[in-house]
This record gives sequence, C-alpha cells and structure tokens, in this order.
Amino acid sequence: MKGIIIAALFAIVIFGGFLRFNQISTNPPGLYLDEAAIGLNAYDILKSGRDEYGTFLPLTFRSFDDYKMPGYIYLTTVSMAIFGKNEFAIRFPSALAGTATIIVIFLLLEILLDFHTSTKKYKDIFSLVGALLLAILPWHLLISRGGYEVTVALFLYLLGLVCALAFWKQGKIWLLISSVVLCAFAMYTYHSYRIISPLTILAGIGVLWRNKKKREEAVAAALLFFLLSLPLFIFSITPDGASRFTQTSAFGDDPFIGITRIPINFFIYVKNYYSYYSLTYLFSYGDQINRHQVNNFGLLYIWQLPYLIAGLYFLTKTPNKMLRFIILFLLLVGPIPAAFARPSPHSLRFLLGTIGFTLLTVAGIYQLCMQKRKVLKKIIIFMTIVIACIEFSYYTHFYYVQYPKLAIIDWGGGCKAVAQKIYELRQDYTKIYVDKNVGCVSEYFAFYIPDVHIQYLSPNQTVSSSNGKALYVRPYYGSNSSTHLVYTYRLPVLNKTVFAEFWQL
Amino acid sequence: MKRLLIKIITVVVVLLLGYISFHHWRSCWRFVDQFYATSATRQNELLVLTNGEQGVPIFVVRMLFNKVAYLPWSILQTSLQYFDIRFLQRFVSVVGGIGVYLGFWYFLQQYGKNILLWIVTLLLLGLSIFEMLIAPHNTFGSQIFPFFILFEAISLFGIWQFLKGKYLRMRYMILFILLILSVIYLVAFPNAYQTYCLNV
Repeated sequence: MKGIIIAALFAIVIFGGFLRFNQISTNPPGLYLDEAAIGLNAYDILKSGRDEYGTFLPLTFRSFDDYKMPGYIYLTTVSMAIFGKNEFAIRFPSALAGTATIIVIFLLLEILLDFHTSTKKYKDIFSLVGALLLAILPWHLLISRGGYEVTVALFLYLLGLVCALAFWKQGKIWLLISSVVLCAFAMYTYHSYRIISPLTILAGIGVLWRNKKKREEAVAAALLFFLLSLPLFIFSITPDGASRFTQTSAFGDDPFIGITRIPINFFIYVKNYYSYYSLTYLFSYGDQINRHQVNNFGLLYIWQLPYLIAGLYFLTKTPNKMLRFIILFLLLVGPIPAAFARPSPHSLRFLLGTIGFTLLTVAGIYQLCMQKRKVLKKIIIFMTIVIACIEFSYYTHFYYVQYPKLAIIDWGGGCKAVAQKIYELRQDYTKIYVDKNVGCVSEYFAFYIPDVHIQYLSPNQTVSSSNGKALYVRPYYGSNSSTHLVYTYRLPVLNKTVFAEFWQL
Repeated sequence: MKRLLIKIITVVVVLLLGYISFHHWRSCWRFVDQFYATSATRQNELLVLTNGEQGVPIFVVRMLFNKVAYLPWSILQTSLQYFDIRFLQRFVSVVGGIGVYLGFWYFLQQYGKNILLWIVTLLLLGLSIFEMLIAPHNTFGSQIFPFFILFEAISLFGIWQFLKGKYLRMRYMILFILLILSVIYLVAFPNAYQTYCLNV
C-alpha cells in the first residue's frame, strides 16, 4: 500500500512539474519588470558578488527602491550559474519551489489527518487528493511559472509548518530548529512573510507554552527566531526598510487628513482584508492583473465552491482540532499583511490562500466521502471528476493558446523584441535613443543587451538630427512621413498593435 | 429581558443601516454588466474569445466556444456576483454583508434544517438567476426591493445567532466595531454603490 501511495505521489509531482516547467521560457511571454530586475541583480552577483548599485552581497537589493528580499535573487544566481542568463534561469527557482510545494502539502495533510483517529484512517488517499489539487490549481500554477519570490517563500514557510507539526508529534528538537530556520528564511524571501512568519512563530509558541513540559523549547525557539530575524528587523525600521510599505500602502490616496484618517484607515484595512474572501475574486475575475490570472478565469475552479462550503461544514463538526486550527489559521493569517497594501485583493501577496483553500476543499471532499448514501456519493464524485476535467481542459487551453497573446504587454514581451531589434541594428548607429513612453525600463535593456548604450528620452525632449547616425525608438504617435522609418514592431496579437517604431535620425 | 432588548435594538440598528445603504440603489437604472448573463452578452463574449483562437483547428474552437458549453459556466460565474461581499457591503451595509455570511454559516451549522432559511436562500438564488438572464429593464428600482428583503432576512438571522452563546461581551464588541465601520463607510464613501449600479 505504501508503495502505491509513493508511486501515486511521484506521478502527481511529475504531472505538476510538467505543468509548471512546460514552455516556461516563452509562456509567460517575456519578462516582467521585477523578473528583469531579479535577473539583472542575480547576474551581477554571479559575476562580481555585487548588485547593480555595487553593494557587496547585500542583505536587501535596492533595485527600484523597493528593497527586494535577497532569498530569490541568490537562488537565481545559482540557477544562472547552471542554465545561463535567460528567462528559464530566472523562473526556475519559482517553478521548482512550486513543484516541491506539492510534496509539502502532501506531508502537511498526512500529519494533520494523523492528529485524530477519526481522520487517520484515510489520511494517505486524502493527502494525495490535496497534492493533486494543488498541482492543477490555477492560482498556484500560474504564479509558480513566473519568477516570483513568493512561491519560494511559500514553500519554505509551509515546510517550516510541517516541521513544527512533526515536532509537536515526535518531540525531536531538530524539527523545531528546522521549523524556525525555514520560517525565518521565508521572511528573507518575500515581504509578506515579514509579518506572516512572526505571527506563525508567535502562535506556535503560544501553543507550546500551554504544555508545561515544552516551555523551554518554546523559549529557545523564540530566541532563535529573534536572532535570525534581527538583521531584517533592524533594516525594517530604517527609512529604506519601510520604503516598500510606503510605496504600496493602501492608506493615503483619499482626501481625509488628520484625526479622521485613523477610522478611515482602519476601515480601509478591514475592507481590504475581507476582499480576499470575495467570491468573484476567487472564482470569476481574480485581481484583474493579467500576470496573476488567465483572462476569464478566477483563482480557483468553480467546481471547488460546493466543496469549500462542505469543508466549512466539516470544520464545524470535526473533532480533529489541529486540522481545524491550521486551516483557519492559514486562511485568516494570509490577508493580514496583504490588506495593508494596494491594490487589494492581490493574488501574489495572498498566495498562502492556495494552501488554505486547497486544505478546505480536501476537507469538503472528505465530508462528502464520509456520507452514508453510497449511490448518491458515487454519482457526485463521478460528476465532480467530469466537471473538474472539463474545467481543467478549458483552463490549459486558455493558458497555452490565448494567454501568450493577451498578456504579452503585461509581461513585457514587447520589450524583449525591441531589445533584440536594437541589438540587431546597433552597429549602424552611433547613438540609440529610446522614448520612455515605449514602456520599457532600463532594466530590460540592461538584462537583454547589456553592451549597448541607450539614452532615454522624455516625451517632450527633442532629438537633433545626426545625419543618419542615431536610432530613435518610440511608440506610435500618429501618422507621419515614413521616410526615415527603419522598422515597426507590432505585437503578435489579432489587431497587430504597433508597439514601437524605429526611426533613423 | 434587558439582554433581549439590547439584542433587538442591535438587530434593528443593523436593519436601519442596511436600509440606508440600500435606498441609494432605488435610483439605479440597472446593475453593471458583470451582473448579467443574457444570451446577447454571452454571444458577444464568445465572439471576442474566438478572436484569440487563430491557428487552432476549427473543430476545437467549435467544441470549446459554443453556448451550450460556455453558458452554464458563465452563468455560474456571474451568479457569484450577487453573493459577493464587495457587492453586499454596498447593498446592505458592511455589517449587513457580514451578517449574510454569518447567516449562511449558522444555516450550515444547523445541518440546513431551517426550512424558512431554505426558502429564503432558494428565492434569492431564483431571483438572482432571473435578474441575470433578463435584459436590463426599467422597473429595476422596485424589482431590487425583494433582493434587499431576502438579504436582510439572512443577515438578521446571522446577526441574531451571532449574539448567542459564549463570550457574549466580545461578540457585542465585534458587532459594535462593525456598526461603526458601516457608519464610516456610509459617511465617507456615499457613492460607493455606483461601482455596481448605473444611475438614471
């Protein structure tokens, strides 16, 4: 039996890995701004040990003054050392972590279902269901395919949680140490975990403290976590450390000032918080950011909805208190940091929700399978499988056929083509100007064509003629004499929108 | 007796806030597009979707993008709009919206045995499907009143159940905060309802 379970898990992981790695270099189409910045910094670290600003092995990367957490960039450095400077190398750590999370959720469910005799009997099969569900979940799938730090942070955090639960069951101290270290590493990988990890450690310590025999371990864990997070904590209270919060803060765009701000801000926070449980956000439209979702699809499958409701019902009845606690904790703690920022809801910042909702769906499926009416149960399971397969087919079709065309601008796909064309034409010109309105920041060119010197022009700036020795790249500003037009790059979408024009000056 | 009176007053305040939120909606001409799944709108959507299918074998396109396959899925997606917390907070106030979810939660806890709540839920589902499938119409102002009544019924049931059981003082405290938030929302963002409604 154990062999079959392991074989099944292996098959699910291979399938999940295929979904995450298949055509990863070309779909998503291009590199997003942050991916380009990550790639650039990782490459600089690989070459010289310094970031783009010349800081030696920094604790945080200044980048666009958003001070990126270092974990993902250092991982990308390793990946670039193996695969070279390309899109695949930037996305590899994320896709790998996404695939590994499938194993971790299996382990998490194994441990959680083992906490009570009522759920212990079928733990293997439901753990597999959970792993399969995460493997095909649109939300987790799409985010795993981008070069996002949050996927790695989620993996580290979840593994930390598994270690903590294993420590609770087995009492081995190395599990507790691993748990604390992993949660701390998650903090060094993505901003949201600077709040989620301490909250989790705090909750864990609270649980341990209730058991008098484990109080020493609780204190030791708290101390270790404090020590590990101290550098980040010190950085967080500096103006640079707080800059990320200031840049994305949800508070401050409306006309309320002074004392009236407090209740208004509190309201905005609460409103943002519960927007993460909005049905249309989860099932219909997502957060409307094309990089986080496939057009026309939500973050979860619609067939999951009845199971989520059944899962909630299960939570009210189950004697497995740990399972209930962990599901509710993961669901409720996820939006706490995310609600401080705008826009809300935001699928990246609430990626922890993928785990919470997957566990809740598994709970719902468990609830259904425990029903006594066998025929009805079989009919419902059969229908669910059919509907789930149809929805999954739709999703993959949309992802592979329509998504690369619809999301090309969101992923900076046009900028890659522009950079490649500039590289092709570079030898014919002494100067190359790029209009800022093209929408390609310097990081793109620094990543794709680092040897080509480019000057950026504001829309109002004029370029004097240089007897055909300068190339000017700009967006389409209306019809004009095309005598000096060298090349027009059109997006590979149906209406062939002009993305950039290359003019000889 | 005193406790019951406080409870009744609280529920009445929730109802009042709900009505204050709702009364704006009566001037609306219709909901915004994402509340409707009429045949015509879906046909347009299908046309747009097929535009992205260049190079795909025609039989695959026909199989995936036809009304029979697309409509049920689309209707399901649209129907969620009527139960969305962001819509409900504008329709029956913040506290009312959370009350609706509390109502469904307690409904689940009671094994769904509350027949009255079954009727209200089914009516709500029926009404939302009816609204969703018909073209926008002129009598919208009066036709959304039943929505308000039904949502309020579930909401008040949820609030009533919430004010039972252990930690009563804390429950009142939470509700009090929600009431304050509802008032803030109504005062600070009086036009928030326009996100989901088209005015005359």
